[in-house]
Amino acid sequence: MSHLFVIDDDDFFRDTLVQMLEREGHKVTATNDAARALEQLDRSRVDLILTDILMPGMDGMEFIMELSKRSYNTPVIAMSGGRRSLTSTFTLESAKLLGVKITLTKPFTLMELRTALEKALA
Amino acid sequence: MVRAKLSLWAAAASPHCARWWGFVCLWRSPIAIACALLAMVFRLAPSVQAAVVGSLQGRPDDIALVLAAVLLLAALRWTSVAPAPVLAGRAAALPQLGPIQALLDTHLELDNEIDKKLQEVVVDTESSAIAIIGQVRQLHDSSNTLAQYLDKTNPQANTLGEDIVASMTYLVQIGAFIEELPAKLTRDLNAVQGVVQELTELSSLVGSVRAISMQSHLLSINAAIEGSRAGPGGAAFRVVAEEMRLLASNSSNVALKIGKGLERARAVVEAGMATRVAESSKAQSDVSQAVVSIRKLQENFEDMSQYFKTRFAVITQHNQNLTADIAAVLGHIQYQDVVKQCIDRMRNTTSQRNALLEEALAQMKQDGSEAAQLPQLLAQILANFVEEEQKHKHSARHDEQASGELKFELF
Repeated sequence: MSHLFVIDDDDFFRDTLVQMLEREGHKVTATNDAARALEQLDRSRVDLILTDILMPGMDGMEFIMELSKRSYNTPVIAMSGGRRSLTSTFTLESAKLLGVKITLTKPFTLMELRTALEKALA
Repeated sequence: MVRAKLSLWAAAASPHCARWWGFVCLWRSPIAIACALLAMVFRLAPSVQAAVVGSLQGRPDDIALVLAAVLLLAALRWTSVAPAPVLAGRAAALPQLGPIQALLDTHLELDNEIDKKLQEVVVDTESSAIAIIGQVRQLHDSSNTLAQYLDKTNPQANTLGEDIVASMTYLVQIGAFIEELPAKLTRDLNAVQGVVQELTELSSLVGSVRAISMQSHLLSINAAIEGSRAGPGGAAFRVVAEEMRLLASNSSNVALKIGKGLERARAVVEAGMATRVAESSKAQSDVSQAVVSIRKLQENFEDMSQYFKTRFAVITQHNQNLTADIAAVLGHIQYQDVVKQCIDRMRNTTSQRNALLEEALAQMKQDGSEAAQLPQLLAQILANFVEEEQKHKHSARHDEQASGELKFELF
């Protein structure tokens, strides 16, 4: 069982993802605020972080950069479905340039989630 | 001298120089060793033969042979022909060997140490050069990519930003005006409605004037009747009655005119109101559309802002990577200073050795002594060099730098 941290401002999506991850047997901590997530990560160790990219306040890109600044080695899965004229391809490719190895385009299937988790936790 | 000449003759006569090297070594004579080496060269290179023979003719003494042997041994050492003696125990063995033999061994050993250091320098320099080339190429590629990216996106970004700001300001102004328009129209409408109300009230007043006129008319008729009944005394009544009838008639005409005028005015106002109501309805529709447009523009602005924010995050990360690469290159360039220091130490050591040899040769020329202390002095120079080099393990440090995190050092 791994400890996963989910950050997404979409309540419905976040709750659904948490349920999916818990059914996969993982311990999950979730929040809708990336800045708050950083505070929590300072206090507890996690095995994997799943973060949305387009969020109000501190967005996913800033969050990933802050993780890098703080020398966190925790693997990150970036998730995005785009927003209006901002495509998910653009946001996820940008996340890759910041060092994220694994990305998930919203909406994704359980199989896609499992594959991403296996790669990230390997 | 006889043995030396014998060695020279024997080497010249044999095609196998190595065999003669072993043979001469059995004699344990420095002169014999030198002769054997010269003989090898004679066998191998006719041009060298001529040169060395010419030299010997000019100075056919043992010192010249020793010098030639030293030079040849050094040359052989640089081509990795001669084996490297072990440093440990060398000092203890020195007294048992002849001074020249010990001198040559120590000389070889020193050359061997310098050769090892030179090999390290070559490896270090080559590794640094390859690393610098690779990283500079990466820097060049990255900088080129970033420059093209910035050239392409920056003007567009500025234009887009300015357009958005201008459009936003303009639309916000229009939106504020349009948003206020319905309230203004409502106020106008209320004012017009007040006018209509006033006119309506005036219309009722006209009716009152008509009623008064009618009543005055009836009174004038009654006054005329009563004046006729009174006979000649009622003539005055008849006059008054006639005037009252005339007044009533005029009042009626005026009231009629007022009524018609007011009716026309009310018709005009009501028509205007109908137009205003239609315009107001259209204005409300425009306002709704403007609000939608402003919201859409705001979303576009947010998206554009997010777009550039993301781009700048990528560029920032890119620049951080560039900075790290540049630091790595600087680290490798810095390493060249270490190489220079290493070469300086080697030059210093060889200078000490050469000075020692020159001094010893001068002394030998003067008094013919063999300078027995020469091997010990050279051994000390060698020991100092080895000890000093132990403090500078550059290759190992270089490997650490190449494989791990960059470490700056000041030299």
